[in-house]
Amino acid sequence: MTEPVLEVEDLRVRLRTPRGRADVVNGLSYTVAPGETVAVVGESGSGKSVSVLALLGLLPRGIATVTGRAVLQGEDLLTMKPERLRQVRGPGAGMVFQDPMTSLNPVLTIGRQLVEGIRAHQDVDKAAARRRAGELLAEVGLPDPVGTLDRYPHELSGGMRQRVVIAIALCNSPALLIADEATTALDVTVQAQIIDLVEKLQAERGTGVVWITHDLGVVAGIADRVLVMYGGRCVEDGTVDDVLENPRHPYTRGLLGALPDLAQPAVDGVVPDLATVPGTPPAPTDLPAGCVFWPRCPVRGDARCETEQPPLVQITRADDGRARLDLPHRAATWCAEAPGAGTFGTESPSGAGTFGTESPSGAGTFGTESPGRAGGGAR
Amino acid sequence: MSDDVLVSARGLEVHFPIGGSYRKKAAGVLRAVDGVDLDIRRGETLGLVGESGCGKSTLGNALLRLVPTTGGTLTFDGADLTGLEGRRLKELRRRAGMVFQDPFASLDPRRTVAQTVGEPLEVHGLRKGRDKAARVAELLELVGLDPGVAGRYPHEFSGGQRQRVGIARALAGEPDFLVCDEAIASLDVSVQAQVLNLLRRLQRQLGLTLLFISHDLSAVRHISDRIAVMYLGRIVEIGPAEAVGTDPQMPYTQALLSAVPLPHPALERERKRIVLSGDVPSPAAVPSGCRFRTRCPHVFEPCDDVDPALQPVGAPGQQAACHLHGIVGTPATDAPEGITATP
Amino acid sequence: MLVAVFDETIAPQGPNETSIPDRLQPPSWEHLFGTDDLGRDIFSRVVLGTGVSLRVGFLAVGIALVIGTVVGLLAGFYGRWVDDVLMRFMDMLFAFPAVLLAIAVLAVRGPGSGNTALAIGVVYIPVFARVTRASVLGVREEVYVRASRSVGASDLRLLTRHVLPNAAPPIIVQTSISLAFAVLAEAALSFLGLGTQPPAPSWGRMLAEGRGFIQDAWWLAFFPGMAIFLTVLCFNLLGDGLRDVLDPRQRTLMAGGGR
Repeated sequence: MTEPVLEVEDLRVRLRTPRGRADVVNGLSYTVAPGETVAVVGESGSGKSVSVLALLGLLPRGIATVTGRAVLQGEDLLTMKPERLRQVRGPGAGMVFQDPMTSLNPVLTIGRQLVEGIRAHQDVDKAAARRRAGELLAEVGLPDPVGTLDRYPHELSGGMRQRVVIAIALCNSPALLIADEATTALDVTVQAQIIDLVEKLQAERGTGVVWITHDLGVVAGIADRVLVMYGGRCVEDGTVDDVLENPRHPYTRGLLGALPDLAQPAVDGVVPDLATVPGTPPAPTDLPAGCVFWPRCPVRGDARCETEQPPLVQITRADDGRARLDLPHRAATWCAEAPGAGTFGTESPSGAGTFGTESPSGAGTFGTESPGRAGGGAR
Repeated sequence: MSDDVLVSARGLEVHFPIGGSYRKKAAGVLRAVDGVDLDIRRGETLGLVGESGCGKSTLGNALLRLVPTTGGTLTFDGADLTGLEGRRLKELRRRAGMVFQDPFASLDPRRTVAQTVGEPLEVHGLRKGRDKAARVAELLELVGLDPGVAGRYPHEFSGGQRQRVGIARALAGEPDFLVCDEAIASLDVSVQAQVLNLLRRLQRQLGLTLLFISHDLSAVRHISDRIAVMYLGRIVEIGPAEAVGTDPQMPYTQALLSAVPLPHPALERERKRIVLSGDVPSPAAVPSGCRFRTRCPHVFEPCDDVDPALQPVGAPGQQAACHLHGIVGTPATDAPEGITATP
Repeated sequence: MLVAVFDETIAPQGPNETSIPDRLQPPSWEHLFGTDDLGRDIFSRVVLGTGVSLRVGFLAVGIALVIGTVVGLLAGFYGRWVDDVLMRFMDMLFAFPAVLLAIAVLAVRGPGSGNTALAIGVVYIPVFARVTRASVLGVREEVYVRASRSVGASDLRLLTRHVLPNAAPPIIVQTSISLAFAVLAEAALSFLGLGTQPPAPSWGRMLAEGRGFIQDAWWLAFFPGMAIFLTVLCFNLLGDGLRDVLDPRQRTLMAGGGR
């Protein structure tokens, strides 16, 4: 196996907030190999964005405490001096954020921003940097690369702007590309273009990609491996097929079941109700003891759920021929061995009965069971 | 057939002047909604999909007279809506509700849940005093909230709960028609499912007619009986959800459908995506002829000249505006003879 | 404020009680703030002046607040020609130097504390109109205003229930600042001899009268000056506090964290 581009070990981020201490990331470990795409999936507040901001030292000092290890090409990012970290940010790791409008400077031309990015890390003159900038824009598929150099961000559409941001992120040929909800603000047809672009560039350059998103559909299309985050912890990880086709953590199952699915045919002309995960994710200032998911979990099949934190363990059985030891499928739950038990409630058509609602007291009621529709797991 | 149509638009136009004011002549015209024919049947859920800037939100607002229309006709339950004023406009506001996208912006931060949900009751003089409080409690229960939260302020709630409050407000006047404008777009996946299920249940329970506007084709497909696809201010395809969702007839719908990412890795790998080139043209400069021709992979001769009209194609009830199914539409002024066909 | 209410009780001497032998006494236990050139007790006069100054301040700001806010609300909410007509008129008022405008009003109506308040009020109308309008322009576009319109709320209802409450914070802050400035303006006009007429005690007048003795008897001008300073400071702090109290978000936080 080749040396990983990024190796994160036991990453923890604690923030000081007006409401008290917030444990936003609690022991996250993963590796990214060259040319590999690791998707970090989670809902808002799961800590997925903070975890990568922490890697690049982009969290406000004094408020955030980051511990653990994050080795990028042999160097630990977390113990690095700020000066060195700034050098690494360009050629080591490029970043693409959700909103292309805010990550570009509105008063500078595209060319100026690209040239600046190139000259900050490479010893080339302005003309050469500008030539390189033009090439990059052509590479990310802008129709008029040279003309675009002299335009301002507001003159471009959202998709074009995101292409420019990608060009800036790639201008120093980083070993790692971090995309934080990079396509969330874009329309699906433009999203498809951007995903195609990233896949193409990655194949050409062997860049490792960390793709942060809430969209499991995007994950299925782009990722090699998936890491599902909930309450600042990794609750399940594995290859994209393992996690999406055979999810073992009740949360992953709930998430998949909650997704309206175009590929799912209607039954007798009626599309069944979606399975729901009742309640809302926990606040990082107030994480439950035991399994982070238990207050919302429909299974709670183990006495330890409420008291003991389940470790992230390999769940693929030895007799499973498809099991790959180098890419284990792991889940942090006491209830992984109960497939089918993870049945989520659906609202009954009459509206009578109990259904999964968010009740303001925090504790949800659970839905009427609909056998045979174990959210995602039964597919 | 026309009896069970609740909302009907014919040639509806909403044009906005660009760069002008009431004193200065506008530099151009933004054609947000540009000739929409649409019938929404009583008791159905119609999904309206399209990408940002296609005019779907403007259309939703126009149907409720929340933005002024600049052309065409609009009827609600058989009555003409264009030019409606005063008391009759107010009655429309009672009979048609709206749920907005951002649950954080759509609730007045200085008013309690009870004040927000009770506002339509006050405005229309429906309930007073204790009756009003009881009705508010009933509405909160209907949307799955504890009636005890009536005295709280919006900031004390999560996004999903706020959206429920917004739905309760829209339902307070016992409307026949509910427009949901990207009502789940800013919610987390697990909460989206809760709200989608809630809307479906309410629609059935109260016999609502629902216009569900969204950019999310999966969600639209899930909740809708029929789907309308909008591109640059025009409806380019409409039909039963099943038909539009599995066998679209208009190249744009096909591309849109193929671009929706599915949570199945194996399927994603073998699926062929139709990646459209370029961006949506500005609604200030709509292409002549077919408005999709600048990005269409199947563009051919008549597309430049003839603005295609919706024509029956595919499944029963399905209609698409595309010359691939026969050239039907309005020719541009200097269109050559022969291509012109009558509807 | 308390001082103004209990003025007669606190003040050890009548404000106009003269005592020539005690004239120009420095501060002492008998005359806390000293005495002036006519032997009047400065402490008493400062205390009683509180009432005069505050009354003028409140009245003036009250006039400006009501008229300015209404003008700003209408201009901001309706826009177009309503905005143009109202705001151009406000600009005209604004274009006059403030003191000149006040002097003009006083010249027409004659001096006196009531007219002083009116004069200061007129000067501040455009300030309130502008602050309100700017704030309304932001709130007008909020989704909850559109949402309320979508359920059939009338313009009046939108304005009073949604737009005004949410546009209020800057107006409240402006009120507190203006109160401070109105007290100052009253002092200034009185100083010029146009405001409160002698022998009524007013801080501005006292300042004016004390000016002549600043070399020999600093306390004549110092204590009224301090009173003005403290009042202005208090109003500013009051404004900040009020804004926080009126915000439901802050309110829940203060009530013990909420959820």
